[in-house]
Amino acid sequence: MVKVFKLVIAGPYGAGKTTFVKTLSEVVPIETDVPAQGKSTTVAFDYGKIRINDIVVHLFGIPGQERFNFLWRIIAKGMHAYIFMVDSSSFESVKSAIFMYNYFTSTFPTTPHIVAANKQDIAKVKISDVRTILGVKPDVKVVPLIAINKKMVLEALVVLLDEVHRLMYGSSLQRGNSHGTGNEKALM
Amino acid sequence: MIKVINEELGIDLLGVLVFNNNDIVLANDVPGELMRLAAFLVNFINKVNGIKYVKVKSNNVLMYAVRSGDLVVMFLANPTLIEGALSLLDRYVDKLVKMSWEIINRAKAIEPAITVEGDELTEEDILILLDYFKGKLRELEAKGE
Repeated sequence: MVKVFKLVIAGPYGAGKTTFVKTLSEVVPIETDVPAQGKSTTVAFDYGKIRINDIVVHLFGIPGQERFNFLWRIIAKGMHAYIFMVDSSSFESVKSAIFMYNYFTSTFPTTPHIVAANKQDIAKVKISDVRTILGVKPDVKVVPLIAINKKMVLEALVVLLDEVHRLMYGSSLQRGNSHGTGNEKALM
Repeated sequence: MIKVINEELGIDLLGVLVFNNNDIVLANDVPGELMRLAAFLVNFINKVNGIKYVKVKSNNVLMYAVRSGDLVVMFLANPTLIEGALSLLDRYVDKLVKMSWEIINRAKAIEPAITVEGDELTEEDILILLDYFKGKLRELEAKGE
């Protein structure tokens, strides 16, 4: 029997969710981006998938703009975990994530998640500041990310899966994990 | 798209919206108050057969809506905009309609996926996923990436 692992990539406009799905998906992902403010933005959701033995990982990138928030709950329904992504290249971008992060953590309080500080190649906001601005709880990990870098995307996914395991079965499988919770200065 | 229109016509549109019946297909960042007015107008257009164009002016917005089949393209402009300029907006309708249908069709293609919910997973399932992605990481590292 094929099982479904549902993973949601959340975060505000321009955080890099579409790129993350494209980097990870092994099939050509379906994108619903349209031009906006000189860039492009997702108006429905991004969708990709990966088949691993009898498990299909479904990846959903959620539209970041608040006017699409009616879709957030619909798409997130039945998810196993989520990565909350922020654009760490500016303080304004990180601050723009506060509403959505509060929405996710209050609507899905028991769902495992990590926060990914994307655009580390041009980062202006330290990981510890991302944690402070969003009010990330001490037991939630904040990881550095460059969404076009497959290695970093895979690392983020491994950290998330380890969180899923820890929360479901009470033990962490990561050894020597650099993505600490509250000691992120070492990452910068 | 709104930026392109404003640059090409030298005007200052407040918003461009496309509706499929009452659902928004395309939209830029429009203030909530204007969005409610737009939704009200679209609701009216959808209820009246045979309407091709609608122009509504209030103190703070000039709304110009064009019906194209099931879609309604709506331009929100400053009320000081010369009404003659509205006809210039018609040239963008086809492009907006085409973009909207592409989005609608893509959304239809993935409609079954949106209802997907995760299955109950065992610890073994989680370990399989972890092993897989760690293996992918090792492959990348072995390639020196």
